[in-house]
Amino acid sequence: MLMDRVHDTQEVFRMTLDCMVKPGVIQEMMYISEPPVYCSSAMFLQAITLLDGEVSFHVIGQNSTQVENYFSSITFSKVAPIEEANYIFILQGVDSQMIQAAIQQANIGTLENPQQSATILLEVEQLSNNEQLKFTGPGIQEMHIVQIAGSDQWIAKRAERNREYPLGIDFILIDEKARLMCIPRTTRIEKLEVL
Amino acid sequence: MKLQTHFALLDEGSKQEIRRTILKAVAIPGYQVPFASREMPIARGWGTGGLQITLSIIGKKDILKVIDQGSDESVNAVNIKKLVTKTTAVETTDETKEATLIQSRHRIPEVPLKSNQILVLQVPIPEPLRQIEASELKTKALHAEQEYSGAWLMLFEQIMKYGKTATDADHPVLVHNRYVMAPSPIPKYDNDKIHQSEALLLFGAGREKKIYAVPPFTNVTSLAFEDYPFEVESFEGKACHLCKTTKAFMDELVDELTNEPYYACNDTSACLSRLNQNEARMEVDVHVAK
Repeated sequence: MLMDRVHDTQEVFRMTLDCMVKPGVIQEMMYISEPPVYCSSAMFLQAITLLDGEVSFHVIGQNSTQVENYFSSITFSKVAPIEEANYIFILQGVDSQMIQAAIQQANIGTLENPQQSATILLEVEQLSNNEQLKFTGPGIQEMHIVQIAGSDQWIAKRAERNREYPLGIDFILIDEKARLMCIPRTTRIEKLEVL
Repeated sequence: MKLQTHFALLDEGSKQEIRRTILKAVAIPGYQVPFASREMPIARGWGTGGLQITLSIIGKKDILKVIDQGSDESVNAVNIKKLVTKTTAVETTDETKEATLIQSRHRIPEVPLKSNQILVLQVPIPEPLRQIEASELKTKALHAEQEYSGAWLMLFEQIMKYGKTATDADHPVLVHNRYVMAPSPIPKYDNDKIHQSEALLLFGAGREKKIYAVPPFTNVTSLAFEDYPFEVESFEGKACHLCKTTKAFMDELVDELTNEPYYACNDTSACLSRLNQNEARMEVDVHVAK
């Protein structure tokens, strides 16, 4: 694959940081030529930006074993069970039940060390600014209106697991067009009434 | 063998670890996230925490500004700037408005920061409860339990002793209604700039191995009592001897001949741009008079 590991990962990180800082803002990630076979180019870029031998990860989805082997062979990161993994990659096409189960099992950290919680990288169909959800909280001036395809059920599960701040899970969402949005644990999500 | 310096000095593994730490710090505003602080080519206590953040996030397109106590040209600022530019070749600027990445020691610039900017602050003592509890294990537990009576007691004792809170800098703040945080030794004058700031603030403590953050539009309040409200340094009746402004954080200097005190803006780049504006206005006046 053709990429510049030093500068491309820097760019991916800055974009992810910007999205984590401004929850609900949607940014477009770059593509790499010759993407990996079993996962999207965006997921791959996130993996090489975040993973190394010091952290563990878990992959859920079709071909998860191939993706796990691939990620660990290029990043030296260790594969771990969901409950222990620092980063959980949920690939395109995983059904809502499985996503909820993953959120249920993911590590939310401890009161002494809330940073030890998991970050979930979730592939969704589409991210947009259509009216579905209202984001408020740190990083957001008044509110951000967003739509996350297929989020109806897992949003509630997220709220359930994140209710005891500072414990909670942070999300990095990626859609089919490699658009990126982050939801840190501090973001409050309300469903907008459909008129 | 001649070794070539890697882009932004730090090896990719170090950058990755610091980047992961920053993402968690942003998700938990005000909470001090531990990180494996690296050995740097400057001494600990000279901004190694801030420098490690800067080097981990900087990219080719960034425009860097480094200030030390408000000055772009003091030794610490110049050396850090040199180190970063020699290893990254990024552009630097003195103009706060033009910078995308600002590393600072002990000041938040006077020019309001924008949402495309990141301010990195160097922190000597990240733990606001350190003065009352020496053990890291115990302060971690106090933060976990949101047990901040020690911080309040410290302010209360100052009021009993001096009739007012006597923190000159680094006055503790409450972030997102959860964590008490040391805002680094910025003057109280700058504390309000953290509240609902448009820019992301990152704090790096190299010696103490902690990184923490305040995202934009986050509620940050300085600790104070109802009957002893938070007060910032007052410069009433004082004006900068260069740009004549009365609305800035100023340094008190002493005229060595007369022993009279005089004042100068602490933020040199803001002072310079005001001077340039005054100058331009004068030129227009002269032109009109002709």
